[in-house]
Amino acid sequence: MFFKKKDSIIAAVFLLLLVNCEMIVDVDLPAYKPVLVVNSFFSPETEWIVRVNHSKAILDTSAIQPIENARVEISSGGMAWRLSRNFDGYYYSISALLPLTGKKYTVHVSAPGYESVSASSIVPAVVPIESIATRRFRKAFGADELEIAVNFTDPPEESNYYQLVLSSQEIMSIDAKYYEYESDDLVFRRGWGTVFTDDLFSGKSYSLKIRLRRWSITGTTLWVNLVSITPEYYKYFKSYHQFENQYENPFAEPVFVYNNITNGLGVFAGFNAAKQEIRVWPISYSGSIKLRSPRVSRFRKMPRNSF
Amino acid sequence: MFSGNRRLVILFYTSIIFSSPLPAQKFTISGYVQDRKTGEKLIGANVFVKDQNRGSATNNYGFFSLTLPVSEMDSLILSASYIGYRLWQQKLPANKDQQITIALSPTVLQGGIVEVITAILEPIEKKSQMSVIDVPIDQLQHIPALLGEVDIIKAMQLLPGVQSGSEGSSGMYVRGGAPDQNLILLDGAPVYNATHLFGFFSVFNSNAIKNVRLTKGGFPARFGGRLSSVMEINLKDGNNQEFDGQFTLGLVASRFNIEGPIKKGKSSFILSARRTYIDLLAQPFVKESERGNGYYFGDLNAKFNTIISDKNRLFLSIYSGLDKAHVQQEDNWATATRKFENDLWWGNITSTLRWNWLISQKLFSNTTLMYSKYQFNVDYTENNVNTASSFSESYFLKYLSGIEDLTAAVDFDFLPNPAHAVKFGADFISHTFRPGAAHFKATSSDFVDIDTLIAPVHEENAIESSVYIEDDLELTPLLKINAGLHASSFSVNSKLYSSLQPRLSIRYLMGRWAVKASFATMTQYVHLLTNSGIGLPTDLWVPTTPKVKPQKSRQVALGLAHTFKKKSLEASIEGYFKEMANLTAFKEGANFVGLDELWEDKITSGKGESYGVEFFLQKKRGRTTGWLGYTLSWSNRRFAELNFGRKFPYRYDRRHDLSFIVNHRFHSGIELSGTWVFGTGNSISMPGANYSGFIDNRSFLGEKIDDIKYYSERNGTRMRAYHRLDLALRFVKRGNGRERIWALGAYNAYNRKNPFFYFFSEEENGMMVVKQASLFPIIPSLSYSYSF
Repeated sequence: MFFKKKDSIIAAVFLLLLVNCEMIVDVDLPAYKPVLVVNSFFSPETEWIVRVNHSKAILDTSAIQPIENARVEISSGGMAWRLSRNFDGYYYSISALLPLTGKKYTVHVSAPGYESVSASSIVPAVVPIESIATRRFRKAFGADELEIAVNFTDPPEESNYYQLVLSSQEIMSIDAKYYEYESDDLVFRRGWGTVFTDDLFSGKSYSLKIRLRRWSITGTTLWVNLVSITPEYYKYFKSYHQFENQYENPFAEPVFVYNNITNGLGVFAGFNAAKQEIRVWPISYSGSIKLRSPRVSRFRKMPRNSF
Repeated sequence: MFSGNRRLVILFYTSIIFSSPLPAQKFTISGYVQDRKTGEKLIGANVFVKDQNRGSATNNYGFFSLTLPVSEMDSLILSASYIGYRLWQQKLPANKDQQITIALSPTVLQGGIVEVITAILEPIEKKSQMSVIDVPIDQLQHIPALLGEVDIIKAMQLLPGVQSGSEGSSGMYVRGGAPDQNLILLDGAPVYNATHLFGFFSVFNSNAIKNVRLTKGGFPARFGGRLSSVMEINLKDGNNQEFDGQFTLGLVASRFNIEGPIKKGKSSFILSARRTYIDLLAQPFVKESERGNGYYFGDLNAKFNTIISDKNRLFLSIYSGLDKAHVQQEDNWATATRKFENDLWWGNITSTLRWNWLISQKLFSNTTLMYSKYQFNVDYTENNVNTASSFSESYFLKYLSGIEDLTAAVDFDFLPNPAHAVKFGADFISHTFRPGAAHFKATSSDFVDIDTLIAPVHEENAIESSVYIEDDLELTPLLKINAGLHASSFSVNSKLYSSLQPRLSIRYLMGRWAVKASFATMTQYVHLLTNSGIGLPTDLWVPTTPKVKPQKSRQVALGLAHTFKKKSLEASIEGYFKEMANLTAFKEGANFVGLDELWEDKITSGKGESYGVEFFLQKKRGRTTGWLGYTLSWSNRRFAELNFGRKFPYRYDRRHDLSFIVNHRFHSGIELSGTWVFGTGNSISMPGANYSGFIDNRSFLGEKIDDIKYYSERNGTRMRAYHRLDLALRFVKRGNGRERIWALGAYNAYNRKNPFFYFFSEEENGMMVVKQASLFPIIPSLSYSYSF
């Protein structure tokens, strides 16, 4: 969209015109000691998976290696479980142990040559989808659109964080595809992706409306997932999107991606999804599907000629 | 917050009452000081009676008033002096009120030879105010400039305490403040976006300017509304004796100005214009369908003034400036055509209507109505027609943002006796903020028309008003103070903010040295949202709101001032400490806000502090003029939501900043000028590490997240130092009242590759390196100007 990138377009034009030369410079970067990077999102429907690798100095071009000899431990309420390294070395897991709703979990990771790290998060309670209403309409540019209204009631007296995800299969299933959608809803903030808070409807019933293009849907059904997320998840996702938006702009202020790993980097955060499968229409379309991150645009419909 | 207010007010009023001289018979000499040749009123000219050691300086309209005790002698000798003019002296009766007009003759003689006369000026140590710099406009015009375009703001950046932002930009960073904290007044009207071409040139056409003064601290009470500086630019009134004019042909732009009497001695006008012309020159070489494509900027200044009577004068000045880029294209195929047009323009309009009324010999009033508007505008239209498929569609897109001010102000100068110079007044500003509106319209043979206001015309109205009183009073011959009080209020969305701002400057004389100290608190109700740091036209002015608080500052300064024996060399050294509150910045990752009425949610507020020492040595007169400025400074910010709440250096925190400007006039009519600047590199945020984010095939986070950059500190890395030499050579030929000047220049004469920004790059050998991009290599310039 033109507006969204206006600053960067102008900046780019102006750089092309004027930047006359480049040269390699020595920058006095402080010495950097790599730390453990731990990434894990967990929910009651998935077994524990904790990825462990390491960070590296910015000018280091070597590949980041998984850490194979780490000790990874999950603990909760005085109980602790040690995770074992998966055969491909990329993550640590434990079978037959599923995270439980409402429980707080802590991860401890240590590995030779690195400072030990830890982090905690909980599995939030599901906020059920009460009903879903759909509506089809024809829009400009010849595209049919489907409007989906997701109705739910926000639990009172607490801050809740959500993500709305549309998928072709049940969420988290291996071959699920995730659909991009648009929304005018005020809960979404441009550039923050599909996460939102209950600031505008705390403790109340809410009807969240989104739209998606008909041709983008592959099957006859669609899964609507209202994911309850932890603040850690929310902050990480939001800041990552912001980081991605600003990344190539030399004039932009930097974005510090959220991190909740003590002494390390990464994120350890729980989520819990309410799911509902809906029938969309009988015709099956084929074609390639873009699996980009869901985009939220913020078009406001105003009365005609009110400009 | 300001607990000393009441005490200061009491001090202020008691000082007025008790420092009044003993009742004695007095008389008043008042009038104007002007240029003999042009009738142009001179600002800041010194009028004095040497025997009595009494003097006064003219105000912004050339007016002075001197009240003296009746002496035993019948007469006195009144003198007047101004830089670049011969000393004026006249014998006057010393017992009665009188009004005179003093006409000073310029020191430039025929044949390009400059007469060097030591005029007696009010030495720097006599003034109670500190942190003020007057640079003669003549001197500013000699400073070598980028592509030969004389630029007032760039010249100001060469003063101590004032920094340029990034290379080539016209932003000013005064004593660690941000560019939006500078109040730029063009004949009293605020100019909101003082730049052309993305900040490379400032909007002021130097040919039309009479006087420039910059105040960095110790603000007298008459100033308010910005935290860091006030830059007053006064336009010429126009020659009321005879017609004259000037034109300049430069590489980038050409300028002309013409001025003359409408009724000799009574009314005059000045008209000046500037325009770039690369777009025009390129016209013959482009396809017909692409004619009109290109970019230009231009300025127009017009001023008219008339003397209605001895006591009444009226001025009207208008400024309009515009940057415009236009792109159009038409493609034709057998059965289809595609045509689009894109217009991007921005500009300021200001107008000032001013009435000077001399109520009495001791009371001068100035009533002003002002209008100022800045607008940024984008228009896009596209038409597609396919006759084969009888398909047609058209799009129309419009975006605009801006600010509009309407101001009414009244100011009084009350000069009861030479020990007092009282100023008081009030103003009232109606602001209209338009933080962005967009309109999208599409019609097509294939779908239902769309007509969408993407964001409504979101206007925000606010009323800002202020009253002030100040007195520049001489308590004893050695002790002079300027005390005052500025009170302001801002009303927006039924929320009212108000603030009381005490101001005090003290000067104590010790021989030829003066010790000066000042204290000023300032409040600013407007904020500039900018996320580029390079002054793009998309930067948005927004008001203080119930959620976004007004910016505040407190500044103390302490300094020494001295005029060296020959009186042509002034030196000052000043230390300052400034703290600022409620500064705004974008939250991390927040982006361009133009379309969003939720801008308030995207910004965060914090504090700033800056401190430093400035050293300034200036030679204003003689064959060799110029200055040496050095600043040692620190400027930091602390925002709860940025950099984990830790203090971080401001992007333009500059430890060392040095500028050396010299201009020499040879006898032969050749003038050589040079500028050398050196500055510590800007502080930037460089990531220290890389790490991978969450990667999982089952993730619904969207794209695989990897390669996250880890920043340990905001603005924690310094770029390389900046230094640059600019040279200019002028060949001046004068005769028959005409003047021809050829000017040759070189910007960045030794071709220093100065850092503009840094980026990472992977070399062919697989190594990752940091690279620097730089902007301007050596840039020669040539211009020709002719005055008649």
